[in-house]
Amino acid sequence: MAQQPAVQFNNISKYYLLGSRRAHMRYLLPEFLQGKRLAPSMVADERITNDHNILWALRNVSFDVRRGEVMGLIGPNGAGKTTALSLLAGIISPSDGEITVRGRIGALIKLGAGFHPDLTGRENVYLNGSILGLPKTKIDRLYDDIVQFAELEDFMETPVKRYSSGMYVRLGFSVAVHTDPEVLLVDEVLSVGDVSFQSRCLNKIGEIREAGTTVVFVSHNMHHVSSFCDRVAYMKQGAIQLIGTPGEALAAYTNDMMQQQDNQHIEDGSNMNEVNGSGRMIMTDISFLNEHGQSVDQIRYNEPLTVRVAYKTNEPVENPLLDLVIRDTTRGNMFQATNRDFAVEFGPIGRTGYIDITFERMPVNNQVLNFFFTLWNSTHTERFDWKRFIKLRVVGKPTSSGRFLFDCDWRNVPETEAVNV
Amino acid sequence: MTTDVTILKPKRPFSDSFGLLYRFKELLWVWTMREIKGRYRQSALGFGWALVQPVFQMVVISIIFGGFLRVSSGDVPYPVFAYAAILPWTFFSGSINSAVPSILQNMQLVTKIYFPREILPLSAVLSRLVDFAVASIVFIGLLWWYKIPLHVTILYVPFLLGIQIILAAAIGLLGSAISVFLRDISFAVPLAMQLWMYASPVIYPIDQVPERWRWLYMLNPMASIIDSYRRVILHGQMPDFGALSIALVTAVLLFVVAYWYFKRLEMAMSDII
Repeated sequence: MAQQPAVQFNNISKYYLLGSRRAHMRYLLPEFLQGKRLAPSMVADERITNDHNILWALRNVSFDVRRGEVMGLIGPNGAGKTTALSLLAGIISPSDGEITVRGRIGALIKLGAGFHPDLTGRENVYLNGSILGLPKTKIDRLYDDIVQFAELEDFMETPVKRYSSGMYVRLGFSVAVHTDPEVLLVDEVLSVGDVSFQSRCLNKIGEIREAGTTVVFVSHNMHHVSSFCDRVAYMKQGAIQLIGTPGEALAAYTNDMMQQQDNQHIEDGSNMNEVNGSGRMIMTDISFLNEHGQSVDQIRYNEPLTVRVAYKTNEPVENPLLDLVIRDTTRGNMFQATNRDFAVEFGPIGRTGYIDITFERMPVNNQVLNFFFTLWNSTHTERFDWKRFIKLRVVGKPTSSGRFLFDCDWRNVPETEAVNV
Repeated sequence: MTTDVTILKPKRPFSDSFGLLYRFKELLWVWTMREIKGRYRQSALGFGWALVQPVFQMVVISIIFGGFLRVSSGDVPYPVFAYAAILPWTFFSGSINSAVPSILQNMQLVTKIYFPREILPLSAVLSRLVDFAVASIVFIGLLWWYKIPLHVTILYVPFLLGIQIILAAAIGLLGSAISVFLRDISFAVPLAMQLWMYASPVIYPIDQVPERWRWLYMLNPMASIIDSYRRVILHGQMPDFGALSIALVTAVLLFVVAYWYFKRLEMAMSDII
């Protein structure tokens, strides 16, 4: 018995009929009048699979969560993570397939713990407890701990509709963990509380895990996912892409995200044949070279990078300026400088050649970088040429989430050693 | 360590429903208490409102029908005659009127956490028992004022109450589930309850109904229930068991069908909101 998984998702599909009132009213009819649309067999029917009036939240999803395991669900919005949790919690039922849950469930779905807005915090604790199947005497015993953990001593007689979203989540989380569930579902709630509450929640989840509780955890915070989960499922468009270690799943997710950044680029890179300026000196080619001198469109973080700008002039040009701007897809400039900022002058420039800009390392984390190049005359009064949105991908650490990844040393210095030094 | 195993499938067998509801009996109690406490919260009169409605109705009806129109009330004074029907009728219509919107009003809960949804309409019905008890105080006063003796047949009241609760619960289950899919129900039900009152012997005695149509009239379960209230309380007579058993069978059958239908719609509720 102990070896059986706590949660089994067996070929689960979930779809919603979209839109009209008439579609909803069909639920009221006896089955033989509902039409094939509501029959379970439709999952396999191609024509219906492609129907625009049907929203597929999950398609043939299968996974197991072992007892005592912390399972993370990651993926973009609309991937089906919350649907999966809602199915587990029994709030909605699958359109096809079968879910087995072994153990009592405690759930915290999307900021709601099942609180009634008109009731006070105290009344909601009791209501929630009785929904979770606890007798009143047990809730009496847990009550003080719940309130204390949520830090809401002064607000328990206030209706929860007057709570801030942080207070709401604190109480919800506190009830969910103190009622000692065997399977805890946590959906994206930790992002709401303040930092100190977040860390207490994470500690509590850690404690619960030690005690052998199974946890299913949805989060957009890659750091939480990688530090807490034993395994992670990466979901996309209602299907599981991959289940693996946090590292594997996060790597797959980040990779997809970058691909997406590539596709949703703000603008295409400049056409190399198109001149954007006076044209006395033009850029004919721009390439990115890795440490082996190979032309690439992707490097790993902290790898050496050379940006090669090939040029052509019809007449000699004296001391041109090359202005380089690097931006990431969403935010402003990450870098802007000209050769003169680095005290470099190019001198007289002949007919053709190239300028190399070499970076010893590129400490950027999982970004699609856009490069902008502008060629000026020496006095910055005449623009020769301008090339925009030249892209380079930099792959970083999947488990880290910042825009940059600076090199740093991590060292623990115990007190005694410090004294000896 | 005991472990509950939950299997979640597209359809749950109806036969599981009763066991599940039993497991949540504590919640049924808690929610009924909350309904009772919540209803008159923030009103100055509080439970006084449970008195005001039937009493005013009784006064108005007594003036118009008892006074002006001289509707016969047999050998009992018209106000007692009317109140004996208004009291159970107010309980009946009140419980249905609060059961029908109960699910829509609590969607915040329904979409966040699972519990058997029938708890919402059922507690709405049960919570109206308190209003009924409060309004009964006036009735006892009226009986005393008009010097109507207590009969032993009053012991049938809990039985009558039971039938009408089953009937109200059945309609409450149906109405609350359907109104999630078809909001028109929320508007139609209060109107229907008003019409139903005229189709029941609340303001007139049952023997005013033409003999020819009496059999049809008595198919209305509330007709025989209200008539029975008058018999056992005011006249010390036995209820009309023939008519009452039709009411009982109707109520129980309707309840089973309504509960089955409710459970069929239950899981689709959170799908469409």
